[in-house]
Amino acid sequence: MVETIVLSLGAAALMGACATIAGAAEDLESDFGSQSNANSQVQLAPQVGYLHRYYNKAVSGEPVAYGFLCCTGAAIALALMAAFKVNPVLALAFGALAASLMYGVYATTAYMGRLTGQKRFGQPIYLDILLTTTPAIIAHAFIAAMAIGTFSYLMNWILGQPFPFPILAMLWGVIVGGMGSAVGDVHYGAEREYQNKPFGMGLPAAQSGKIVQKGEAGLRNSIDVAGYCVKHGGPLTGFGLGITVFLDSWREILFTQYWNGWGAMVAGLLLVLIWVIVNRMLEMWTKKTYPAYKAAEE
Amino acid sequence: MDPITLIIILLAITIGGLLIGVGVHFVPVGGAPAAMAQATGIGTGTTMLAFSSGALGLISAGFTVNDIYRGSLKTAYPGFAPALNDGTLLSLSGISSNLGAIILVLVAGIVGAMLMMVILAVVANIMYSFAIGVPLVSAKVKYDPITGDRQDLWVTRGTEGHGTPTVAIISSLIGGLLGGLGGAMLYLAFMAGGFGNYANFGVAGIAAAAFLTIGIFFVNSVLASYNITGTIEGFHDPKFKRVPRAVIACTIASFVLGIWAVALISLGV
Amino acid sequence: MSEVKELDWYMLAALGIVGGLIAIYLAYFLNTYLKVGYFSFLGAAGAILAIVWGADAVRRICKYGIGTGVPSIGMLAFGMGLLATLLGLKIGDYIGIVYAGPIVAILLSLVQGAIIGYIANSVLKMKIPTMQIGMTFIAGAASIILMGYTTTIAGSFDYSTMINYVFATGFIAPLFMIGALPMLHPFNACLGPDEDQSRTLTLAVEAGLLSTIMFGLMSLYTFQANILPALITIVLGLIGWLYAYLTFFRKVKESGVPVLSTGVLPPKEA
Repeated sequence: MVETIVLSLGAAALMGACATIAGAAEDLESDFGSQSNANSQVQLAPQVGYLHRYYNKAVSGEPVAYGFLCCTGAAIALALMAAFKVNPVLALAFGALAASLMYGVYATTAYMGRLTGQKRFGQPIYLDILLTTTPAIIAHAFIAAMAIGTFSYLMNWILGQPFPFPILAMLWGVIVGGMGSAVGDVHYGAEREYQNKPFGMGLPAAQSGKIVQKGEAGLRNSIDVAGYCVKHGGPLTGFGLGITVFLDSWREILFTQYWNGWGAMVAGLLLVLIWVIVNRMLEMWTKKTYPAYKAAEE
Repeated sequence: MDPITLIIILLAITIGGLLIGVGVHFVPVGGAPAAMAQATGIGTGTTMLAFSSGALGLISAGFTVNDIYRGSLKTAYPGFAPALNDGTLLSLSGISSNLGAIILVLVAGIVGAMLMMVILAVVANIMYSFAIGVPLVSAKVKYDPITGDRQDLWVTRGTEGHGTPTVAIISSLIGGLLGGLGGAMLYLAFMAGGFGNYANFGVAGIAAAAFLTIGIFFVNSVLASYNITGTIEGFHDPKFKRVPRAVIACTIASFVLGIWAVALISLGV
Repeated sequence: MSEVKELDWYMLAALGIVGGLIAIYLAYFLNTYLKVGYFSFLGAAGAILAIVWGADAVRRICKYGIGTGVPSIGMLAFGMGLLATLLGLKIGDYIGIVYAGPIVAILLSLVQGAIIGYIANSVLKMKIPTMQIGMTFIAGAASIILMGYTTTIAGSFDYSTMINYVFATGFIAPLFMIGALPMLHPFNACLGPDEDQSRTLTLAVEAGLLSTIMFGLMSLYTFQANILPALITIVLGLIGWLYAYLTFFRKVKESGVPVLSTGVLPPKEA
């Protein structure tokens, strides 16, 4: 019994590490491609006269995109494992490779399609942006797909989650997309996209679409964006996903044996309470540190 | 399978779908504006945010059902596995004798969903506080209904708030609770209808039950997001008054889907 | 400039239903009669016809601006279509006539789509003129896509094959996601005031062929002993995809958008 718990805890630690890498890669890839939320501004910019050299990858939102990327990678890995008796690590790598190539093709058609649909605003399709950024997208998608495929496989095989691991990969892919969209995209959208605006404020509605066109040297493109977001947005997304995977696995492994399974539920509710308290402390800290815009009327 | 069990399964699917649809309205969705620090809430689309939390709830519920059926909790709940095998789990006698196990599965779904929802919101708040440098406030209310904090003095002019203040966090937890509960009810309904019989179906049954749950989850989540049309901050948002429309829509949709499911189950799955 | 007449969506619906059904029936018949798996790729052909139908329906619904994004509609369609399709195939299995399964599945999906379309328009007051028929059509298209690609993965579409080869392995997850994606991606990717039907539908075919390649790779699981059927699907998929992609690129260039190799931003007109 103890050996199973130790084995499961070790697997959970490895899963947490894989999830952290996956989260960081997911956020960076979505920054390379300017996907989902922040993309609405990139889409709007030519309409208000701000032409740009960002990549406009409008392939659904991040959760759906990562859902299909990870489940395809996992499914092809399963097929290779069954048909050619390839060992799991290599199979996951090949599966992730095929899936991320497919993902790259979707990215290119989205870029070309969106800009063609907007041709009346004069935004050109830059072939060099297409050819230099797409390999970066494929590479980061590969890292994310392989990491998620790996920890889904471990979750199914060692921790004993009964769903077949392509389904787990799809669910975790949607979760990592949601995490990247909620956390990492904010760093891109509110900071890097509007870097010439003052720090420490939200974005007024009148400034929508007026994104940064010039970069540090030359014109801003999406590779610069990822180079910036790797310093904060990417790792924080990775942390978010890693802590989710780790906490959920940890409370299930260690506490299910107490009180006929209720131990794990109580542990989960306590964790939720701790996070809410942390949030409250954060909220009070921000109110104290960042002064109000105007004084309260007395 | 006797008619009462079929009716209970139909009710479970209808109510599960309804809970999901209503739960989506509690989740603070900022959408694209939130990612630009222009609106309060979590910066993802409505459908997928609800589905992310429901996904972890489903994974957690799947774990628990498996533990009770053939894992470490098998001895603690001995009646569960035979009831699942011969399809009597959701009959009146099955429910009363396996109540502990059923409640454990539902709570597992709730805990998973709530955990995911709170981590999404709080890690995003860490981003807002340190990388963007904005306080966590809402522009829809002058005072936070739960903590009493003043909100409007800290809202950047021209925006609708930024971050996820405490009232939105509590709202998101309620949303996660309802979504996780609904998802776990759907999963249990399908498993009790015959997909859970491991000797007959093996892993295929579990996968089918999980994916049919995911399908019904999507239907209700998307209908709810059509009702919200964009962003909502939680129960304190004026848009929350639209919930009755979603109740009708999700009930009808889940009821029809439930009829197909019951037909499938009565044909022997 | 002459106005290109748009393809009528009832015609596309007929093409999708009839063409899709013929393709998957042919695949099943040839596979079982000759006891081989080589004709599984015909299932993909049927699915692609349904994808074109579905993508056009998505286009017509979303042109009115549904306020929540295009991908959700694909997920809605597949969520509805999955349960109805499974029920239809089970009915076909129960009464013993395998060929009846897909027809019942499509009928149930159309009914389900009609109900959800009514709910969306009347209860949720979305008031989109094309919603009712559009929602019916995307549910039906989802059903045919599911059955067509199941035939590609597993060689036939009957209920027990679907349970053993699609659900047991977990392939239902990519079937759902990269089956829905070719239906919702074309309009989402070509969104804009200058969107054009022929370009959008070319992209639908290209995305469908890309999914075919992936399902061909997954069908290696089914055809473990003799991998030739999987290879046929993969190779035909690759050739078809290359042709479709280059056609899409040609249409992009023909549309008049400036395609530059590199350069700085174009100067603003004063």
